[in-house]
Amino acid sequence: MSRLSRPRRRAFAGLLAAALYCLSTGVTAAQIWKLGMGDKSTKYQPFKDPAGRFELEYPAKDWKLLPSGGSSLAVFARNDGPTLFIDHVRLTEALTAVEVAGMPAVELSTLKEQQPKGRDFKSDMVDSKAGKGVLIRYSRDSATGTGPETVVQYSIAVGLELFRLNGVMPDKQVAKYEPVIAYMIQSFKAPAAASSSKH
Amino acid sequence: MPRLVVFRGDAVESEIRLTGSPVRLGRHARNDVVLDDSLNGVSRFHAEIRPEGNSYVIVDLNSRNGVWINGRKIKDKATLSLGVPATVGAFELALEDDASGTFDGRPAYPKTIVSSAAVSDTVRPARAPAPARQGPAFSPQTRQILIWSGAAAAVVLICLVTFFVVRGRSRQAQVAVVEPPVAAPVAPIETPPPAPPEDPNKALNEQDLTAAREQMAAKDYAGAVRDHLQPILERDPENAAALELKKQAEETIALETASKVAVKKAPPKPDTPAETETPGIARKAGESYAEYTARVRQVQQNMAEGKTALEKQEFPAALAHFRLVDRDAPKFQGVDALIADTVAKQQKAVDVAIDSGQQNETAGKILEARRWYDVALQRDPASTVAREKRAAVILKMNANAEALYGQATYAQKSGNAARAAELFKQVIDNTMPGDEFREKAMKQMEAQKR
Repeated sequence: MSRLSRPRRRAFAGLLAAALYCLSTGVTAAQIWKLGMGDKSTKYQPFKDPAGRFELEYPAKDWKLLPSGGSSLAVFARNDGPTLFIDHVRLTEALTAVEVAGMPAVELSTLKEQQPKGRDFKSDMVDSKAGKGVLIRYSRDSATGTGPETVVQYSIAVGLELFRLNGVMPDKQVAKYEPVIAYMIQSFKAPAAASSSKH
Repeated sequence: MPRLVVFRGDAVESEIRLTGSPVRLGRHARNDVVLDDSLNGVSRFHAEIRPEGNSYVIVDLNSRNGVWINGRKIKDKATLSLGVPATVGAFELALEDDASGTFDGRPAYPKTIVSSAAVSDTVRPARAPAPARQGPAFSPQTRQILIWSGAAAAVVLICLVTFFVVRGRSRQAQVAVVEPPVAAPVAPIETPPPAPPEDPNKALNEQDLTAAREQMAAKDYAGAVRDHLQPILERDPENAAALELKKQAEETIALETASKVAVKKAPPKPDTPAETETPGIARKAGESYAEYTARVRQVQQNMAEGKTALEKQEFPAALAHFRLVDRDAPKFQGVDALIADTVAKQQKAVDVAIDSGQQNETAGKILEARRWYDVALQRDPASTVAREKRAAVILKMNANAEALYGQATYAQKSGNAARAAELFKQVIDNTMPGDEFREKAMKQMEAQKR
C-alpha cells in the first residue's frame, strides 16, 4: 500500500472536509428532521415549563437550562456552544389551515429580513408532536466572533400561541449537535397540541 | 123763424134767433155765440151756422174736436135738422122752430156768452127726441177722457218701443267689441217698461247659442267664444249650455294649439319624395312605401354602425349589425362577404389574444395572461378556448391570492404588521377588481390604516 506524501494527504483531507461541508449545508430541512429521529446515542431528560406552556426533552448530560428573559421562555445550552432558545408570540387569533400553509413563506421572509447576513436559507413544513410547523435552516456569522454557525428554526402555532425554537451551533459542531437539536425540537409539545391538529 | 138753442147737458145755455146771417160759434170773444169751455173742448173759432136754401147748415171751421151730429163727426158742413142736435165740445146745438118759442124775428142777444162756470139751472125745454145714434154714444166729456187715455197709452207704447230699440242696438254694440266688454250706455227710461212675460235675455241667449254652434261647426271656436258664448255668460254666468259649449271650444282650441306647437317643433319635412327604391334593397310585396323607407333607413344605419364597430375591433357588435343588415336586406352592399371577412378577422384577433395570454402564463404573469384571455373573450364571447383558458387562470390566480392572503393574515396575527401590509398589497396587485381575495385584502388594508 503506497503511502501518500504529506502535501497529498493535506489535499485529500481538504477535499474530504469540503465534501462534508457541502453535504452538511446542502441537506434540506426535512433531512435535518430525519437526523433527529435517528439520534439514539444521547440520553435525554424531560423539561416542563413551570407555567405549563410546553415541554420537551433535552440531553441529560452537559446541557443546562439558562435563565430566560424577554420573549424567550427557556434557553438550553451546552458548555461548548450549542444553544436552543424557545421564543413565544401570542397570536391575535388561531390560525386557519391556509394561514398555516402560508407560514413557511412568511417565516422565511421575516427571517431573511432579521438576518440580512444570513445565507443558504432552506425551509420545509414538518410535523412534530405539537403539530405541523415550519423548519428553516440557514447559516450566519456568529455575533460573538466564533466563526460561522448554523441555525435551525422551528415555528409552530398551537392554539393562540406561536412558538419559535431556534437551535444555534457552530458550523464545526454541526455534525455532532444538529441531531441533538433536531431531537429536542421533535420532542417539543404544548398543552394545546390537540387543537393544532385541526389545522 | 128758427132759433138755435144751446144746451149744456140738460140745461139751456142760450138761445139765438137765426135771421139768415151766419152765426159763428167758438170760445173766442169775437164769436157770435161764445162757448166758454174750461176743458178746451171748443176751439176758439169752432163752427158757423149758415142759411143755405131753406135750411141751415153748420160748418166746421177746422176745429180741433170737430162737430158731431148723431154720433158722427161731420166733414166740413152738415145740414141742421129740427130736433137733431149738433155737438160742439160739451155743448149741444139744437135748431128749433120759432113758433114754439119766443122768437120775435131778431136776435134776442146780439152776442151770447155761454160759460160753463155759469151754468144755468134753467131746465132744458122739451126737445124733439133725438134719433137713436148709430154706434156707441159717448158724451164729449167721455170722448175727451177716452182721447186723452188713448194718447197716454200711445205715449207709453212709444216709450216701450223706444226702450227695446235702444236696448237692442246697445247689445249689438257690445257684441261688436271683442274685449273688454264695455256696456253701451243705455238711454235712461223714465217710465219703467211693463214686466215682460219672460226673461228677455232668454231669447238673446238662444240666439247666441245657435250662432255659437254654427261658428263652432265652422271651426271658428275662438269666435264662437268671443262673440256669443262670452256675452251669454255675462248675462247668465250659470248658463249650462253656454258653459258646456265654451268648455268644448276651449278644449278644441287647446288641442289645436298643441298640435300647432308640435308641428312647429317637428323638423321640417322634405317634400314627399317620389316612391323610388334604394339600390340593393328591394321592396317587399305588400310593404307600404313608409315601411319600406323605414326599413331602408334601418339597414343603412346598421351598416354604418357595423363598420364603425369593425374599425374598433368590436367584432361581436359589428357582426350583430351586419347580420341585421343581411336579414333586412340580404346581400346589401356585399354584407354577406363583409360578415365572412369580419368572422375571419375576429378569429384571428382571438387567436392572437390567446397566444399572448399563454405566453404570459408561461412567464408566470398570471394577471397579464388573464387580461389577454379577457380580450379574447371580448373579441369573441363564444370562444371556448378563451373561456377555458381564462377560467384556468382565474383559478390559479385565486389560489395564489388565497395563499398570499393566508400569509398576510398569518403575519398580521403573529404581530408582523409591516409584512402583513406588504402581503395584502401583493394580493391586491395580483388580482382584479371583483376577485374575492382582492376585496378581502382591501378591507384588511383599510382596517390596518384605521
